[in-house]
Amino acid sequence: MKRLVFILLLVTVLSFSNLVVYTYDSMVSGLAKDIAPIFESFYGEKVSFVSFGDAGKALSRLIIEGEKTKADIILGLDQNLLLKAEKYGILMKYKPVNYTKIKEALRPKEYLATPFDYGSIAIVYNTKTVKNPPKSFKDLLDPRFRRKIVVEDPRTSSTGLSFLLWTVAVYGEKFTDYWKKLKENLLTITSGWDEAFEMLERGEADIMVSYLTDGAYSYYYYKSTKFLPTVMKEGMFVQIEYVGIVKYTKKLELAKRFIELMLSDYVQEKIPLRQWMFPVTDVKLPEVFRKHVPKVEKILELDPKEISKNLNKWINEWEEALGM
Amino acid sequence: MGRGAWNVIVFVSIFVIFPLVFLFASFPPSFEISKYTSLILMNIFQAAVSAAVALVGGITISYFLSHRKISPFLRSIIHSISKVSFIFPGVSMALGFLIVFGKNGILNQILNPFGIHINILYTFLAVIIGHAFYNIPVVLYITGTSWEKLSGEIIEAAEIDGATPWRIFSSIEVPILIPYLISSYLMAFLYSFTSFAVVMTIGGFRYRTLEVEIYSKVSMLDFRGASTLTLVQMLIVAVAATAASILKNRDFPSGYPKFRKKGTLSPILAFVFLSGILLPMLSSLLYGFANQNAFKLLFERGWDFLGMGFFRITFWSFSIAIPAALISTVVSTSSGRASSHGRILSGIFSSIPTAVSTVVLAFAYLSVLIKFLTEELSPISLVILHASIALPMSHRIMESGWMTVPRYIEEAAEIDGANKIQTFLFVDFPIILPAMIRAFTLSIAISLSELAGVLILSGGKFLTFSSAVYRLMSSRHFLEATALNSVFVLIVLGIFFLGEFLTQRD
Repeated sequence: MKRLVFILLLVTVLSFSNLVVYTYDSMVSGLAKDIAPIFESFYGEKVSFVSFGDAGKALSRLIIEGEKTKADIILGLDQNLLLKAEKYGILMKYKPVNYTKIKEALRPKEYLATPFDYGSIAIVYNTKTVKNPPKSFKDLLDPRFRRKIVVEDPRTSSTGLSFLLWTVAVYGEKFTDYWKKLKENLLTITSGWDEAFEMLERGEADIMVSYLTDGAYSYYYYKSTKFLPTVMKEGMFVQIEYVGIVKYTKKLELAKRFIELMLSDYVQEKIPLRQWMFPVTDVKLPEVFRKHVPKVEKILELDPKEISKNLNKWINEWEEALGM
Repeated sequence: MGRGAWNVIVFVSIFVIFPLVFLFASFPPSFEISKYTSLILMNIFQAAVSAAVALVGGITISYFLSHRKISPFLRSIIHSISKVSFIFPGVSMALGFLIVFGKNGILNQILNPFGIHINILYTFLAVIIGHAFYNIPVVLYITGTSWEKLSGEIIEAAEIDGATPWRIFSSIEVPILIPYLISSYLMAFLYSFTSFAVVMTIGGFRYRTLEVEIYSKVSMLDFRGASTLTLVQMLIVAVAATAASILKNRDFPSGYPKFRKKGTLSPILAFVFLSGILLPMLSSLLYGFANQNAFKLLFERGWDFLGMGFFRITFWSFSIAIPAALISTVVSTSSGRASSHGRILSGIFSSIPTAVSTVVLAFAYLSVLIKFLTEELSPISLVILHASIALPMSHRIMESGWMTVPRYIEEAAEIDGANKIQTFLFVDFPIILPAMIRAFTLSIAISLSELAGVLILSGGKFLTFSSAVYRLMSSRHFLEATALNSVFVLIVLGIFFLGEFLTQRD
């Protein structure tokens, strides 16, 4: 028994002797595959990507583990989860050497974390089953969409949280009234984006909260536009994804190099076709992005201070509205 | 109090009671439960309805088995199905339901040509059907076995007196079997009340159980909320588990059964309910094998996504399951002996884990690990967690095993000068070995099938079969999930039936 315990401990310890990055599912099966080999060849160190489902769960795990964590980097927090990370004080400030490469509008003021991609969240629908797609938030309440929509849980999913904030941006304090009506049309609420997209692909759901680039994705992989985003007339909501250094890292120099790598042309050029988001630096976009990502006329924004002040209250109100 | 009783008391005190006490001390439950009233009531209502449907299904099949003379082979198959349900992985059952009842599932593929389309996933009906079919075998296991042993003489006497079959059923059989019916209803209620994988997968946000909500709260760092719901759940579960345990041990008039060949209703209904149980199970087992792309995708991108291949998943699964099964078997061997010698405390302590759900215990372990230990011990904590949750069942098996040891042989050995170790090794051990093998293999199967504890304690750093299947099916790798699941179910069933085969002489 003692021997077994020793072996188990050894395996666990050995598994985490390199740079450890906490992130979400689709990152592991996507961009991480490009980052890992290049990081290893540049710096001679391995990088392990550990996924917990969605970014919210990865952050929760990091907070639970605190100073005992093995994580050096957290990858994939959006601007809203970043507020939570700031509240718990688990990130180390770092101003990247390549800071000026970041598009001006996206440059962080506090250096708490570094943006690496951005994109608008959107309502995405199955073109085979939804012939007349919703074009506004009001349309989403139409009884013809009863039990056809799947959204992500704002408490565990960064996409879900962005959608909740999007409704706040549209309806203000009355957003709960909207959710009470939307509840009737919800098939279910998933804990993460991957699970929701799985349902859309499997045909269980017809509409989901996803990203504006999903049409380009659909065209790129299937040469069809089976899944298309719809531009909402009230305006769209942009999500920025960040990479941050964990305060408790014991590999600070390596962690800094990881941040710089995320801003390199090599990774930024991979962002569109791996992450299906926009790069934060001025690298050339692939043709499919130029042709198949709809133009956005109006961007809705919420003051970060307002979000920070009200986020818990909004989530509690959302829970009440849905009877969660 | 015998030594055996002390073993289980120490084990349960350290690994079940202490973590719970620590949990409640660290995160005192709030007594403002009004926020959760609708969730609690819905959970109770769902479990009550699920158990009622399971009871009807279970009674139907039990009636069929106890009243119809059927081939021993068919009878043994139906009994095996009822036993399998105890170890059939929840995540695999949920996957089976998705395959059968999904929008593009097997049922709709059969019915669509007739213009019928069923869309029940994420509805109350889906949860009820899921739980009912998962729990019919539980009712069958508890009620059916007793019903088949019900003395035929009583039935014959009633028939001679002119009683109709309905009168015999309602006035004789049901009153005699009522403790077993209530006990099986309560067990089905408990399983439905604390359901995790089925509700997570097909329940949707409207019909969550407290178990799922506690898991969500832990994931969201709302430890206080999780602690509050934990207390509520423990109280409800403890009451139901205690009542079920008391009622199940009632005596009843057993004897030779009386079979009849009349009536076609009970075989038809039994067939319908058995199909309902078997369809998701078989679909879950066979879908991956039947779909040629499933394994191709699993090898092309599934392992890559999981970050580990089949051998590492197997390594982690068995590195946890085998030590857990060993601990559970060793503890239950001594506790079973104590119980068979009339030590009441032994039985009480070994059934305590039944009253504590897996999510709750895993949450408690996590709170201890964070405070005192390190998360690197999470595989060891999972071993202990799985040993604890397997303990009630392995204790029951070992208690029955010890009952078969004639006391006079032990006494004779002692008179001949054998010490306690010699008596155990050369007298008791050969007799209880089949029970030990059964307890060991069943504990392995329970550990391999467990999901919630792995999700909470593994921290995403390692995967077992159940958590790997869950991750694949919830992240755009459905076909890969079906492939891995087919292998997983095969392994679990293989281990279970190996145990049954090795202990046939028992």
